[in-house]
This record gives sequence, C-alpha cells and structure tokens, in this order.
Amino acid sequence: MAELQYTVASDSENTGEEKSSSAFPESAIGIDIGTSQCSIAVWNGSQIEVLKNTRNQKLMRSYVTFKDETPSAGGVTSNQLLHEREVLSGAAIFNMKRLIGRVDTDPVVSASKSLPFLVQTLGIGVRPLIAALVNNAWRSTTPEEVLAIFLVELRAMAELQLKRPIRNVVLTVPASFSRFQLTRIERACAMAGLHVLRLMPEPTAVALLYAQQQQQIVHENMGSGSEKNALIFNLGAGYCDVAVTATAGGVSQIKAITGAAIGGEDMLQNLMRYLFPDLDRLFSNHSTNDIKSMAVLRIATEDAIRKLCSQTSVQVDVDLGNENNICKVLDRKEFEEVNKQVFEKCESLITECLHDSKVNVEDLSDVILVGGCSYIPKIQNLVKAICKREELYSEMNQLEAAVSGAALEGAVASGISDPFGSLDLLTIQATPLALGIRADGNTFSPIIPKNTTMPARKEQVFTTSHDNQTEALVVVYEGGGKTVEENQLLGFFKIGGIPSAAKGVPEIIVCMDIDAGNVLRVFAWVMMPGNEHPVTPFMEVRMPTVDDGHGWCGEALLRAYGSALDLVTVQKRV
Amino acid sequence: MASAAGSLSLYEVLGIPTSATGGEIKAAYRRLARTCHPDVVSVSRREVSADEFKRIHSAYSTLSDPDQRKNYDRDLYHRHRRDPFGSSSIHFNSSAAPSGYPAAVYGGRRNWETDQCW
Repeated sequence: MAELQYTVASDSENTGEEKSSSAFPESAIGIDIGTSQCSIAVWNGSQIEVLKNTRNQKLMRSYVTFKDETPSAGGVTSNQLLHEREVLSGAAIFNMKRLIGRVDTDPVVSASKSLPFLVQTLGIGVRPLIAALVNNAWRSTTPEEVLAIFLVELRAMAELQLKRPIRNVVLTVPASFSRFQLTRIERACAMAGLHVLRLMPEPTAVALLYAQQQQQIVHENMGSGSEKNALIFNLGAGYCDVAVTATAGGVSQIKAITGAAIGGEDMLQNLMRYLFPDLDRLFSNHSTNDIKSMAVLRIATEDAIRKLCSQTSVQVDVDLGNENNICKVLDRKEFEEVNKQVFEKCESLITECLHDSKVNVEDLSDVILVGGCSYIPKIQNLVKAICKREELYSEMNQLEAAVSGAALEGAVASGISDPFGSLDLLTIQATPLALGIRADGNTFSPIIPKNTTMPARKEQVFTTSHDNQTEALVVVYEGGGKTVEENQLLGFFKIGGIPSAAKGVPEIIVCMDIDAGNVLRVFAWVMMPGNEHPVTPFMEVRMPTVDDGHGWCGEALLRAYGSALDLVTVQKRV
Repeated sequence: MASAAGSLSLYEVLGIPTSATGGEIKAAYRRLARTCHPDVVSVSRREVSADEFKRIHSAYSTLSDPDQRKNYDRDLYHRHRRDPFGSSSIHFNSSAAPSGYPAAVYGGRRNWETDQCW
C-alpha cells in the first residue's frame, strides 16, 4: 500500500478492550456519510442533537482537498466562498461513496469519469486509479483513504464539541452496498480510529426515528399502539433506497428493503450532457482548462436543478471557454424528460419493495420521503402516485432523518436508557441482498434470500456434477442477479474429501449464518447416504474473503477449473 | 441447549395458546423480540440470544401466515401421536441441531487459545 500522506489520528489506547464499561456509558455518535453531504448527530441525554461545524452548518460537503502539505477535509472547516470552486478544481476528491469498493468494470465507476478529479479505468475488474491534481501532477489516493481523512476531521470536530474522545460510531450506508463495500467502509473507519458499532442501511435508520416518533405519540395519547406500516423512500446524490417497515411499541421491523446506485449525481450528469452533448469528448483529457470548464458547467447545472424545484423554468447562461457558450431556457418538463430513466428506476424500486413487503398500499399509515433529492417535485409526485396519497409524512427533517436515526441507534447500541422510554427501541433488520453460491453452471443459487430477518441461518443441499468428483468449489456471491456475473463475489473455498461416487449421490450441505453482529459465515460439509455424520471435517469460512482484485477472481476460477468442480442444486426435501 | 427448546411447539415458543389471533401472535412476537433480540441483550448473551431470536422469528413467520399455520396445526396434531424427533431425522427447523451436524455450526462460540503468548 502506498505511503500515506497524512497522519491518521488514533486513540492512544484504542486497540484493546472497550473503554466504556463504566456505569454511565457514553453514547456512540451517528454519522451519515452522504455522497454529497455529511452530518453527525448524538443522543445528548434527552434528545437527538445534530452537531454543527464552526460555520454553524449541520450539513458538510463530503470532500477532501489534496495539497502539497497535509490534505484537508474541506467540508468540515474551510471557507465557504472558496469551496465550490475548490471542490471542482481537480485537487479535491468527492463522491467517495460512489467509488468505494467498486471495480473498474462497474458502470458507476465509469459514470465518475466526468468528475474533475481523475478516475482511471482499465476495464479488467481491478480497483480504479483515483488521483487528485496537486501542482500539475495527478497524485493517487483511494476512496477508503479519502473517506478516512474526512472521518478524522469529522471526529475531531465532534470531539471538540462534545469535549470527550469519540471512538464508537453508527454509520448509515446505502441499502445496495454489498458486504464487500461494507468492509471498505469499516476499513476507512478503522483508519480514522473509529470503531463501528453498526452499519445501518439508511432507510432503516429513518425507520428507527419513525418508530421513536410513533412511540412518543402513543405515550402522549396514553393509547395503545397499533401497528403502523410505513414506506420510506430515500433519494440522495448517490443512492436511492426504499424500505417498508412495520412499527409498534418502539419495535420497527423491516419488512422489505431495496436500493440502487442511482441519485442526484446521475440527474446532474444527464442534464450536463443534455446542455453540452460534447461533454465526454471534451473532458476526456482532464487538462487544466477542461477541468475549469467542467466546474463551470457543473455549478451552473446544479444551480438549475435546484431552481427547478421551485420554479418551472430557468435561464442557463454559461461560458465554458473556447467559444463554447450555453445560453438556454430550461424548463422542468425538459429536466424530467432528460432524467426519465432515473425516475423510472425510482418507481420500480418502490413497486418492488412494496411487493416484497406484502403490504398493500392502502395499509400504509405513512409515506416518508427523505434525502437531498426529496425536494424535486417529480420525485414527490411519483412517490405520492405509487403510494396513492395526497400528503407525505411531515414530521421529519428530510436532510437530518438518517443521521438522527443513526444517533438513536448509537444510543441504544451503547446501552443507554432513557427515563421517559425514548430509547426503548429496536430495529429488526432484514437482508437487503440475497446471499448464495454458484451452482448449475453460472447460476446464482440463493441460500439466504433477500429480505430475510436477521440474524439468520439457512442451508441448502447441493451435489456433485460429475461421477467420482472428489472436490467442489463453493463460490459465494451476494446480490439480486440470476447469474453469478451480475452479483458481487464475496469469496470462495474448496471442499475436498468427497468419497468417489456417481454424480448426484454425495450431499454437499452449504449453510450460511448471519450472526447478531451481521457477520456472515459460510459452512460446508459432505454427507453420504446412510451416514449420520459428515464424512470430512466441515469448512467454516468468514466472508467476505476477497480483496480488491475481486472482479478477476470469478473469471480466473472459471479459467483454471472449468466446470470440473461444479455443484448442482438438489430439490429441497420435505 | 437447542434440543431442550426443540420439543416446544411454535405456540409454546411464542408463549401463546393455539387459539391465538393474528394480532396476539404479532404482539407476542414483538414482546419477545424486545427481550430476546441480540441488540437488546448484554454482549455475553448475544450468541445465545441470536439463536433464541431465530427460533422466535421462525415460529412467528410460520404462525403469522394463515396457510403455513394451517399446515403446521395439522402436522402438530399428527405429531402428537408419534415421537416428534426421530433419531436420525435430517428434517429439522433452523434452531434444532440434529446429532450429525457439526457442533460449531450450531453452537457458534468463538474458542481459540494463544498459550504461546502468555
């Protein structure tokens, strides 16, 4: 790994046991690292407090500017007037959340190539090269490193305000993040000296806040709490998440959850391309002038999108240099047409989530819309239309809901209790993605289906695909695709010592276990007919095991072994 | 430990009568989740409580689905008349470990030694 250009702060004693074993445990803080903006909140003993930076802002732009000296996390402390240009100068890395844990064949990474900093891809399934422009040189870094620097700054800011060291955190993450991506987030936190108590899918954090609010209403009315179903739709700059939750008595059960890497950044880029179709060709070189033009266009387009939330048309006037001028009246209809696919994807996610939850639209008590893009009229309209209602839930700050939920979870997970019962809360999580293995050729065979309540343990029986096959490969994937290529590889191992037998005779049992800490373990063992005990010691592998070159592994395995070690599914016995 | 609970019916797991309504099943599930979910118990009990919660959830998901509940009730009636847990049965619910299965899969405790370090 490259030599780090900065110092990562760390507790002097943070490698050992948990410190907070005192009678008054300190609440873990909640952090919402957004693609574009970030916030921190904490349970202050009686309520949730969203922390402000020295400029009195609760929301901080997520970016890090690289300089000759130590890089600085701009969004936390720098001067606001300078910052928009600085962010887009090529020296700053942002959108880390869109890049973290992705390989260079990922379309989300390709879509990041029109950002001002360098995202270099070779299209072979390795991590992309990411670099910031410092003194006319591209200096490489990684999304984890950038995130870690940013978290160090956030941590310092929070420590200053709370006047205590901070170690334990609850972070919100997109529902569509694979377990591999979660390990990258954990790594960034570790680099920043933070201990992750929990990584919460964003809508489940919102669901927890909703559960608390409903609980309070029940307390106030002295009534009995009946079950309330709510749909939560969260659209930020980088990700769209949907969840359906059933809430009663402070217990929030996630009935279904889904998400995709789609958001405001896509709308912004689509509109930039619409305004300036030559975008990709012109900016492919990343020269200093290109970057300047790109920044001008980006700022103007972002501004237009913002204005179109409240007005029906907007005048766009930008001079990109080199006689490239854009002078155009853009109306809301055009914006909606340009981003038709984004809106359609949002709709399909909601429909899918409702279907999976088995909750009828009519049985929804509330529809909650949050996130940075929740102000876009088209988004509000489509959510209302699918959920068949006039009004959306209005008891939440749309930009602070996720971080507030994370702060609540932080307090609950730290074992804090509240005399008024405000923390008598529980979220029963469900798996946002299916977990399974490769079987029957390149088919993804799910073992723990999507939307399974966690903790969970499931198993399935497989068998050999050839006569006298003595070994088999267990290749573990996560995702929603039918074939393995569409899913995220988490790891693989070989199970050997299968007694020689006709194909279909040995039983290879693969068991997956997600424990209370959301750790995934994959077990496998071989049974032969007539034997009560496994014929060999069983395998136990904690996943994910893959590291950064994971895009290669699946193909490499196939090249090396062909179908020689394949597994075949067995019809479930009753 | 799992086998002791293995002989309980799903109704017994949730602590409700076989005549319980859908609402009562849900309420019982929530009440038990409040005390048994790994998130609400002390760290030392998390592994045990994960197993406990899985059992409770599995009981709840069967009984809260009218069709599955009907099937289960029928099985329950028949099962009362024979040994409910035949010795070499592979058939088991997610909580009860049959004898042949690796203990660590079902007991999942972390155990290792680092004698050489001390």
